[in-house]
Amino acid sequence: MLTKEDNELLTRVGAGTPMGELLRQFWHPFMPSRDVEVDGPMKRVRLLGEDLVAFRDSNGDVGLLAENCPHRGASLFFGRNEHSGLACNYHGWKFDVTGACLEMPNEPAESNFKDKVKAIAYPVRDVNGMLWAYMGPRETPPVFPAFEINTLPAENVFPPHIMVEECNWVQGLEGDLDSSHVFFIHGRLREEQDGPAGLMMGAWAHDLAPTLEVVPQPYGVVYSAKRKWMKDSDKTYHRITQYIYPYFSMIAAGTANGVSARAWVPIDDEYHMLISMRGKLDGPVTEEERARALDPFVLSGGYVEETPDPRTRYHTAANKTNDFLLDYDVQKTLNKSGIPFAGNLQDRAMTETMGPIYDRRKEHLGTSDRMIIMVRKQLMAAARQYMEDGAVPAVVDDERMYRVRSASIILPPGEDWKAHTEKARDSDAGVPIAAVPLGGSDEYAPAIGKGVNPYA
Amino acid sequence: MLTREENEFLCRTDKGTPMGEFCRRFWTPVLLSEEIPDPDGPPVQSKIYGEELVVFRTTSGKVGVMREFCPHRRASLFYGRNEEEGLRCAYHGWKFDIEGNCIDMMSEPADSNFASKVKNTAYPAVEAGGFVWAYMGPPELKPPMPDLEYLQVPATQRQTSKVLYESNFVQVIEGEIDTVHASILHSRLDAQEKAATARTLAGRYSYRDRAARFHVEDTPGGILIGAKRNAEEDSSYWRISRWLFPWVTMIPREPHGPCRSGLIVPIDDETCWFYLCRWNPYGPLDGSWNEAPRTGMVPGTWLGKANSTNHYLIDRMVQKYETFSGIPNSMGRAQDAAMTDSMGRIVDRTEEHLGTTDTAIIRMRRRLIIGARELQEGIEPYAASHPEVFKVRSGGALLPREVYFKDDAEVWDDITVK
Repeated sequence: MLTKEDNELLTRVGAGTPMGELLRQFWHPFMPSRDVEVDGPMKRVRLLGEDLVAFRDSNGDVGLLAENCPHRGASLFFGRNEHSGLACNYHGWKFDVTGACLEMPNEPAESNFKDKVKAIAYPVRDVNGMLWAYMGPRETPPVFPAFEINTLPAENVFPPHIMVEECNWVQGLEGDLDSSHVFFIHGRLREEQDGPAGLMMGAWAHDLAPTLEVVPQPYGVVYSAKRKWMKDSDKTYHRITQYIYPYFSMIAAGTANGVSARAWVPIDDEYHMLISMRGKLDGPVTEEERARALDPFVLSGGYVEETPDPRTRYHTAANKTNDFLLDYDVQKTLNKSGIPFAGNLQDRAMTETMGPIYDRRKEHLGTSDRMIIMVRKQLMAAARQYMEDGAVPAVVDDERMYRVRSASIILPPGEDWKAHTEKARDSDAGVPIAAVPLGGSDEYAPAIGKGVNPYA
Repeated sequence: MLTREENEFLCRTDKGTPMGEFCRRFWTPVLLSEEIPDPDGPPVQSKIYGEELVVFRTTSGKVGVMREFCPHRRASLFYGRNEEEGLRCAYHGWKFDIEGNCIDMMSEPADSNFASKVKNTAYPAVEAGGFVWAYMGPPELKPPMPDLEYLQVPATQRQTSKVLYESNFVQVIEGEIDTVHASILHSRLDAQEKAATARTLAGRYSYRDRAARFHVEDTPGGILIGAKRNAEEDSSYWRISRWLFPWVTMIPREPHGPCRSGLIVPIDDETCWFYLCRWNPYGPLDGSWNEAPRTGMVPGTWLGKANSTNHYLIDRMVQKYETFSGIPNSMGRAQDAAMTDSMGRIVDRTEEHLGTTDTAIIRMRRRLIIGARELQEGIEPYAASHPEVFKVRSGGALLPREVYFKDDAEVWDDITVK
């Protein structure tokens, strides 16, 4: 439970709010690189409650400017992107990607007014198919996050999965820090079960009540959700998930060669994007994999047509207006939710229906919510700390700290998952990923336990 | 730049706000006469300064403008019966004449005199220039109608229309008195090449020198704006426009040419009507009516087909190769609407950066703010009670470099109405 005040502190992201200011210390992924072309159309972007326009100039550099022209506030979206700058349609004021005003054709030639006017512009990095922005106060932005998905060769990285969610970002993030939901909302009805080809059946576990062990880290928090491996087995199954400030998650590893980082990026207080970035350690992403990644919701209607509201870009056709395509027949015969197992649709049906910003005075948290409680505590403490003395979490200035991996392993009774996975959780330790595949995450329906577990 | 408080003061016009009370001192168009063509025809809803109104034409052809909601239990009179010199509420049959008097109350006993004690708020209304005008201020201060020229010319010499804007009225006014944007936002990419063969002064001289020098003068009715551009070696092109209290604009025109005016009337704080008037002072109006042709509206509305829901139909290929904006120059004044609507419903003027070409905008805001402040102190607006201050036109002129536009007798004659 949170008080009304703490809930506000935790969730609100506008400029000037404590959490908004903390978030502005970090780099934010906000749009796939492919969405802006050289001298091509602008895109409206809303990020942390700010309305912005993104464009790629003649040199290939990406600009991210406040949408409203500093002159009289007309939208730069309608502007002209040409000759290395974005010119406002209204009076031709032209800005480069740094926000410098290059031309002011409606002012006298001898005027130096253009040297005094600057558009609000945020630095952008274009890395492995994703655009990242820094919206904070530093003259020189902090180090760029050295997640593996950012340091792998570009051809090893999938096109990002993006899904807009119609609720506050913390609700989305909390879903990734909550292992116990996996075998309910994503669960299938029976252990041995076949279904139509192509349909993702869902996950299965023998133990539905995990024991969580939560360990704060300088970069965030890591935790294990421990379950009995089989009904009559004394082995334990650990799903180990990373949280990295401010909203990155790495859900328990499911494949031996895949690394990922998931970002729960606030669009504004009541909308966010789940950006799922994945990479392969063992070679380039194949054409087929790439095509599949570009259309992650192909079985549930794809995305809606984009309108001038930037929140409609990457908004799925399955959404709260149609109950996320809930199908009671499927719910009775195949999986527990009856909602398509595509991207995070099932999760979203849960987190969005809490309301745009859930009133956490009304909740009742149990032992399986320990990780959620810890991450909230860390986030709120960091926001308060920043407002008090400007100190930021260590990960802001230490790219080494982004070098972490999630894991999942099966251990004999009494063994310590922390010791067993110390190297497996370090991107640079030179050991393989510790992974027990979970049925139904990327490939459909392989039962748990049929995968490889080098540590078992 | 304005402070947050000044911006609120300037933009908000609900009943009881300083600017709302100021605007209510002036006759205000509430809809087009053609929207209520027939005696005893259907009543029409209209919202002005945040007040919901119902407008209807009586059996004898008079026009009534009153508050939309029945004083009995607040049902909307829009659903009422317009018959026998009055509008009758559909709920209990209470009937009101155009002065708001309750002339029948069939739901009360015949011997009751309750009807004589109940009144709906009705506003004095007149028809002029193709519009229905209402006076929504204190009844005892009702002024004469403004002496605007297009209200005087025969119907064959004028045209009217209207467009819905999805933003506050002040920023739309600002667009109308900001004449430099015309040679940028509204330009074609080949405007400079075509200038040599253009037949109008605007076509010839608007594009070579896009950084006009502004000369703004206060007048009793508002402001007079001369924007000077270099033309030939020894001459200047003057674009002359006006703003008149509280929301009348007149954009530049060719010398002795037809005139255009905008009446930019608040619907509420976040939307406004752009009432368009075009007239020829000298004879019947000919030529195409190329602004806001009515086919460019979303059917059944006065909202342009190019609007915020479709990026104002911006076409990036047209933008690259044909016009500066790529937005159609019709379909509800889409180019202007894209700019003023996209600022936000009420633009945050704490964030703006005004240059030399915004001089007229700054002056207009000052006049409005000062006018409303004076009214708060009990000083009634001069322009409201002096209809002659509206006897003016906009203009345009090619003059020798050293001549100030107002000093030229022919120009002066062209921008004033005798």
